[in-house]
Amino acid sequence: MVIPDYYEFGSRTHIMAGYDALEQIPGLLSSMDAQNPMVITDQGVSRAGLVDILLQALDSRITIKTIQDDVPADSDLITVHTLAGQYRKYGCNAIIALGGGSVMDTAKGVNILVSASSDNLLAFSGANALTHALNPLVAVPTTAGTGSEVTRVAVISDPDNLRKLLFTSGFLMPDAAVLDPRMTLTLPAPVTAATAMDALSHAVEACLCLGRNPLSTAHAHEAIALISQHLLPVILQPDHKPGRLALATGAALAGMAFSNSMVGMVHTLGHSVGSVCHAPHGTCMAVLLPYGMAYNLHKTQPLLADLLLPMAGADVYARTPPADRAQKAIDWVNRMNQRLHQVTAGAHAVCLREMKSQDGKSLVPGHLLPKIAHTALGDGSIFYNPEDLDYDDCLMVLEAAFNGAPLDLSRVKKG
Amino acid sequence: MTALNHFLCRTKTAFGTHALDHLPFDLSGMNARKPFVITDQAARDAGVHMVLARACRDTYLAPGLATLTDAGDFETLYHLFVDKGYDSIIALGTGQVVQTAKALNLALCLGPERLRSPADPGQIKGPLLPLVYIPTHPESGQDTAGETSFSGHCFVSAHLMPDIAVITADTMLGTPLAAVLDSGLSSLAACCEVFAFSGNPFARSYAYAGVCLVMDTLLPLAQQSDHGDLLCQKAGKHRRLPLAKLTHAAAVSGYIQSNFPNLKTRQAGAHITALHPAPSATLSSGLCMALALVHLLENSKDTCPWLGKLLLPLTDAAHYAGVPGPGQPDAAVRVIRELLQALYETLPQGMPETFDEAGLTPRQISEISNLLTYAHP
Amino acid sequence: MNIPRRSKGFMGSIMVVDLSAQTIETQPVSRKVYRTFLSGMGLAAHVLYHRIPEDADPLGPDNMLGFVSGLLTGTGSLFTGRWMVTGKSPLTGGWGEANCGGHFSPAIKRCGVDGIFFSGISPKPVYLYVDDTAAELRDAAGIWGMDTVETETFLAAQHPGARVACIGPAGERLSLMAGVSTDQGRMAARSGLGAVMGAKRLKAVVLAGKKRIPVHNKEVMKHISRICNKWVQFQPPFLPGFLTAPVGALLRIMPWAFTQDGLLYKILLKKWGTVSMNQISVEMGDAPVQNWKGSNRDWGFFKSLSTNPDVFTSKETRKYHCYSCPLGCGGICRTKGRHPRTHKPEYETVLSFGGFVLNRDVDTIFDINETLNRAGMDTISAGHVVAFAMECFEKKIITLQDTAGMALEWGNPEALSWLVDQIINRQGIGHILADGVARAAVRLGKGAQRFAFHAGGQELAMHDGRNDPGFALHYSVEPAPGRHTNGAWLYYEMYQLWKKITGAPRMPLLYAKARKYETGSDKAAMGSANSRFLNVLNGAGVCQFGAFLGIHRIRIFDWLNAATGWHMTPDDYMAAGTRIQTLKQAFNIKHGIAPRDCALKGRPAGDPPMTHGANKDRSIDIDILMADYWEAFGWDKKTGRPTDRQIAEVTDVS
Ligand code: SF4
Ligand SMILES: [Fe+2]
Repeated sequence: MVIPDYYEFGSRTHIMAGYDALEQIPGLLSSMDAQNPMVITDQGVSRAGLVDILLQALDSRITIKTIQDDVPADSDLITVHTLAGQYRKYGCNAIIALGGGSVMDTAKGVNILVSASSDNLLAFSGANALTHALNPLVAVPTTAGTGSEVTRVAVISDPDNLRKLLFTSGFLMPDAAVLDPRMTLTLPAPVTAATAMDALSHAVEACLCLGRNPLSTAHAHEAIALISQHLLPVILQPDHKPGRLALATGAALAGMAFSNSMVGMVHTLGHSVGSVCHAPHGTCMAVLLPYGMAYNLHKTQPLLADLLLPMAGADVYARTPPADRAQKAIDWVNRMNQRLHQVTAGAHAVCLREMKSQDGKSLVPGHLLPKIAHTALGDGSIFYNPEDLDYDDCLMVLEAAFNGAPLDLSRVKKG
Repeated sequence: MTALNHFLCRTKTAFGTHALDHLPFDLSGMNARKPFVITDQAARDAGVHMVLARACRDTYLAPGLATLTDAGDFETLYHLFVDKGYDSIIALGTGQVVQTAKALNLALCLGPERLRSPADPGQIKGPLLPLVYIPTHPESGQDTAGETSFSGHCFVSAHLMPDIAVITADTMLGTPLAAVLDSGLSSLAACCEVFAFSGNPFARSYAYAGVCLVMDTLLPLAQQSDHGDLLCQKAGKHRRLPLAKLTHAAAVSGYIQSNFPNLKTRQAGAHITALHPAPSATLSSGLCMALALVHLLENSKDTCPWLGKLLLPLTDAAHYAGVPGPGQPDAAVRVIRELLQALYETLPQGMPETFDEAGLTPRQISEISNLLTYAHP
Repeated sequence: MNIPRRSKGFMGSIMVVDLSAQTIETQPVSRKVYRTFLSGMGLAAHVLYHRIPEDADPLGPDNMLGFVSGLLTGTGSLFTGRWMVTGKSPLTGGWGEANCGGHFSPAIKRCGVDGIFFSGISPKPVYLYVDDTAAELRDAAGIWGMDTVETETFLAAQHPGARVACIGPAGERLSLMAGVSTDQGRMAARSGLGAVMGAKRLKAVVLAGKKRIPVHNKEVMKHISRICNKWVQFQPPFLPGFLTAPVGALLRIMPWAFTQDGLLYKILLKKWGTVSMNQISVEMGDAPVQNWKGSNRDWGFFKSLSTNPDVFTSKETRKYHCYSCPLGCGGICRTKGRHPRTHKPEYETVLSFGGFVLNRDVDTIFDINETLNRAGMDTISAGHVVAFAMECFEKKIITLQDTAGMALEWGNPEALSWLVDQIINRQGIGHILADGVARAAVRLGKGAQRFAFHAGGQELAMHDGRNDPGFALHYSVEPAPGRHTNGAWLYYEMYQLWKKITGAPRMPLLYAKARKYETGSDKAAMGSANSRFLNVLNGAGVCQFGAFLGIHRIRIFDWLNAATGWHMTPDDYMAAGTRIQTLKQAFNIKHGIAPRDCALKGRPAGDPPMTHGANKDRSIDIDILMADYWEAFGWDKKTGRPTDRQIAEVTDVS
């Protein structure tokens, strides 16, 4: 075990994972003296009937003061301010965030405002601008991917100024994360696949990036094992509760791992594809993950080799000669993408070119690749990637990922 | 996976050389400007507080230092804290120092009466004041666990876990080999038990790292010691880093024990210690736990689904993958036995390797043996 | 020391362009040179010492112009986006250097070299273009005459992704106040090196290389960077509300001085940039007023209020960071003037065209800032020349006839703008003024010399040696004199070198202010430490503002070792700093400079002392300070000449 010069690992979120995890919420809230929560969610979630399931699971010990279900797909300042107003109006003292990444981010933003009794979210943006614990926040993720239920960041867009505000602080970690398979049972197969691959990319990058440490690696390996074992079975049998729970658990573990070790180029590029083309985050991650691994191969060979064990299991690991294990791990991810492509009847894209919006339009037009590469250079995560990346490198990787062609390793400049 | 897995670790672990350099940023992030440092005489004599002072220099933090000499100090500390207006606690030391710091934190936040007559010692609602833990020795996990005992009462709450554990070779003090073994073996037992018997992936991740840390450091440390002499700080850096890693493992085992208060090895350890009213250096509770662990693993070799996997943190990926599945549980137990054997050889005065050698009667052994079984899926 | 097999941290070669012969070659540099002089400024001193003949005309073909990057640039370190232009200065006739941020520094290294050196004179205007496959001189006839922003925009469009450094009309017209510009207005301004570039008919250097910069241990680099970044983001608990303009007044009145912690300055820089000092400096007597004759009495709180820092941030549309800088003291501002945008004026510019000429009109300052940036001219020197002209006008040395009827009255914004344009265009009185105060005074005669303040020909900056005699010492004693970045007692306090190196006197937390004005061996030790450390910074390419955090917070020495794989101690690095200083001094000696001649004279030295204001009755024992400083280096106390052995030691390296 190689231990870095210095590292930190912390994840102070209380995790509840299980078939009746939702039923634990009243107890959790009362242990925090917060019986009057507000529920923040979005239309999709409430249409899928998840709010009803939640309400059924909560008993009379707590009174839900209000349910706000109009969080947009991209959490923005206005929503945060409106919801903070509602929180105060109804006299709430806690938040239950029910949804995916943007609901979590919105809830975190609202919590900042109501805890600090402030009306200016801008004052808290940036790194570590918070210095006090926030009000109770319980996160109930309805996708198994982003890991926001355990991370210390929130991204909220400021449409007036065309920018995204980043908030990071240990205090942004939700007090509790409730992982209940009922919340993801109805997730469509392509979304399940994309979000799980997002989580996988968190775990893999957590093992490769600068801030990696024994604790984050242990979490990441556990996450990889859970996701690799359960993803395909769940796609084939969507209502398989143990599998759903395993994926949700894997996503949370991956979230804990990467928020302590940071992410690298897969996210650098993925964020940029997302922001330039408005493509779904998870799919971008799925496509880019093998490329990110290959690009860093020469720097992270032993680390990648270690990943083969949780991915493919002991037999495959033992059968593969040590020198080939890293490459095999990359191949494994590629094959996983291929299989997901098959079992979702082509809905899961394996290259950027294939990414389609709901109405069948191509999401990532080739001519935007230079713009994406340019955006990527401004992303903070680029700092944590093991190998350096400049504009040309980003473009090279993006072009390969666009066409689904293997990365030409001879073109990777080794620094 | 079991029906409900829950896990809570409020503590952030900061580990490494110069880890203290990062502390001021964390303190200011918690709005702590005036930390109250509690330490003990040994740490003070070794000048460890100066390491901390150096880290705080130029940061505009105004730490105050108090040295703990005996338990009667509590009132003094309390008044000092209140009068001088401190806003956070740093426990620089191990054991008594930390227990006092936690109790002080309780007294400060819930009122001192609460300590004297704990109507409901279990129900502690947070948050308490920021508490930083900077160990100087490896210990048995009590320090980072969410519990403390004060004048005979036991208080349990996750809020008692330190906010940050800063574990660094820079503050490690000389430690007798017996204490090293005690700590290492008890961490190993706790982590292995959870890893082998719990399907909780969150706990397993911590346990995994804990087992690796012990396996990395315990034996080399023991072999380096000069016949059980003090592992002296002066002996140099090469001993302080493994000591720090072992302390790291202990901290991890503390996180785990907080979440699994009823570990069998722990119970058995307590049971045995109770049978031997004066636990000697040769029969520490860590050793009891390790013996209990072997027993426990042997008992459930065929029933526990995750036991074979334990071979992975005990050895490494190549080794683990090389052993065919059915042989893994045996191999795992063997590794632990071998470790104990090797440790035994480093000790001039020996060390019991079985309950029998430890002087337990057959009846006692069967009692314990009954304790040491998991009814498992 | 174990020697790495291939170069790490540095690229191991330089590019040499002979503009007369139109040839370009890449020449290897031995590892020993890097060990001895680091990279950056030290490397340049080494190259130029040997290659510029002693009688070289600074504007002639024999002078060489070097663009160098830093040893730490592009290695995963922070604050290391600084690059330097070097050569024989036409202003001083001696060692010339100018330091600049932006994104040009990594571009040099990514072309596979640590520096690009030009000799000769091109027959026609050209620019140098380098990428991974080619290095060539291209015709610049079409862009000759364009201002710096136009030039850069044009070249960037031609070569997407390339980084550009260029001169503007000032350099083309050989104004000795011309500098080299990058990122549309970050200037390597001092020493008049823009004129050297103009004389060489080199309009621009365009770099599009993509090479990787090798690093010995990137993980360690990034670990050190992370903690450095934590310090940058760290807001000490007690600070908010503490530091406002009245603090300056307080610092003036108190008989005690605090040893300054750079962390405080960092907070100001992060919030406002260098303009944060606009008012504080005046109040405490750090900013010279009205061509060095005024004081805070003449430029009181309400007069300087129009330049209070918030005025600048309110016009800021976005922050500007140099390469690898987590702090970002820069900004891009909206302006009302002739151009819609400008880089946020720096403190130096604001004071030069504010208090120094008694101008209260901020819009004019913004406008002049952009005008000078576009012309490619040093705002500090330009401000000095303008103040000099105003005083000459006041003293009737310049009359309305000379100015075509424009009254050059103190503080008249119209006159300021007009005069700046005249100087840039070398028209009328502008022609006389365009080569700096020293030459203008000679050209004007009539005793104008009394109002021309410079050190060895280089105009001084907006920091007053009468308040901090360290400034006066470093203005006078450095091989490239007259600049505020060289050193000061304040800088010494902020570097906190005593925490890492031997022989640097520790500053007490609180000391009697009078001590600041004493001379003594501790002052010599402080001064020499300043110079040596700055040489290390410039060898490494580190921003001085980063270094102000204190050496225990920005671990430059550790970065250097991690980047190169060397095992040098801080003292070893400081020894390299000494060698660089000796080499630069030897350069000046070789070129016939008498170091004593650069000593401050007149008002800036407190001769005569001020009769009012913050620096009342203060004068500086500049001769003693200089002699002690030279002695600290083991040089001749009277002449500032290093011993022959010392010179041989630094010139025999190859
Ligand atoms: S502090 Fe300012 S000048 Fe220095 S590197 Fe950063 S942005 Fe550039
Ligand atoms: Fe992600």
